[in-house]
Amino acid sequence: MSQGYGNLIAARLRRLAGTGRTGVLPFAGHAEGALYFSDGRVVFAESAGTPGPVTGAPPERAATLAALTGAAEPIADAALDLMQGRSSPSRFRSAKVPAAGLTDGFGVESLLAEVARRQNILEQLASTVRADTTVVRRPRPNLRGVQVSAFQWALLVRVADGSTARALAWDLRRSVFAMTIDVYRLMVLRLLSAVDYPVVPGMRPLGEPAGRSVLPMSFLRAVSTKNGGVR
Amino acid sequence: MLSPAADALLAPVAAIDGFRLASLVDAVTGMVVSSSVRDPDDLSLAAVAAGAADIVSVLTLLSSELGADDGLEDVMVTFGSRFHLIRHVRADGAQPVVLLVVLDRSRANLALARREIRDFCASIAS
Repeated sequence: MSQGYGNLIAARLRRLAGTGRTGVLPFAGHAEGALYFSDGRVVFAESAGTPGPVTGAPPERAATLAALTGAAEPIADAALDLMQGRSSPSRFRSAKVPAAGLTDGFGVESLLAEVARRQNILEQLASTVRADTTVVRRPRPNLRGVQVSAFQWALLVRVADGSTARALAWDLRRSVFAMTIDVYRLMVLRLLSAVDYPVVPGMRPLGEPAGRSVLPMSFLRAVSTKNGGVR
Repeated sequence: MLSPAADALLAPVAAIDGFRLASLVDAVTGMVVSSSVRDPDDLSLAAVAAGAADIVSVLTLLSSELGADDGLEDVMVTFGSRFHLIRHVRADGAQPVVLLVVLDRSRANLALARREIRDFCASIAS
């Protein structure tokens, strides 16, 4: 997202928050979708580029950790997709807000900070993998001691010709952002590699001058103001 | 905070002696899911939460080299005046999360706190 364009969207979101609006802000362009506001807070978001929440969760889990992460992650994921600079918001209109499982949602400032943090992380990964980079499994003769999560195993099982983090996210109904990070971590473990993308995590990109190294992904760097991150 | 449910989730941890800060962080994305802070000016929640997620990420990636292939449980970091306790929570069917708890070293009992945190994590993972 270009700085000027991002500032325009942020200013618009702040106006909606400041006036306590309830309704929907549609986005049109490369990624179509919408941010849903309730009393000035973003309580739901959807984008054509992200899978959205898994429906049908049992109501008794609403107060559990799974319900919290399950409700928050799709909002942040869709907002990131809508605010990448490839779509633009259109006219805000009053509308009934979908039930998102959380009554409060994100405050606009929290959501903008989270989107900026994610953009910083994606910039860190950009020389290695992006959401639309095609990946393939790598044969690894010795898997002993390698730790992968249940989600990562599910991801590995589904990798096929033409797989990308975004396609896998849709397949598994997971966040595109989370899937991109899991793909990156599996590349670090040498279980996946990117097609036509010669940079391996921890190695210097082909053609890049010696002395410039690719730093591993760091959440801390993404929020450190000293390194251009956001807090 | 996302909701009153998120606030209430960490209430048992906030009752631990010497409590300063607790945060549940999505281990994959690094997003703070829930947090409880005694003094907002005391620590940067974003920085300590991100640091905890990085520590878990690095140790998990290194586990095969460390010969520890049975899963990371927790990490204890000791500073002059603080304990940082980090626990990896893997809930069935849910995204793994990291619990970070910062305690005042002069008031906390590390062994007791670790047990309380372990029990809390078991309760939210089940």
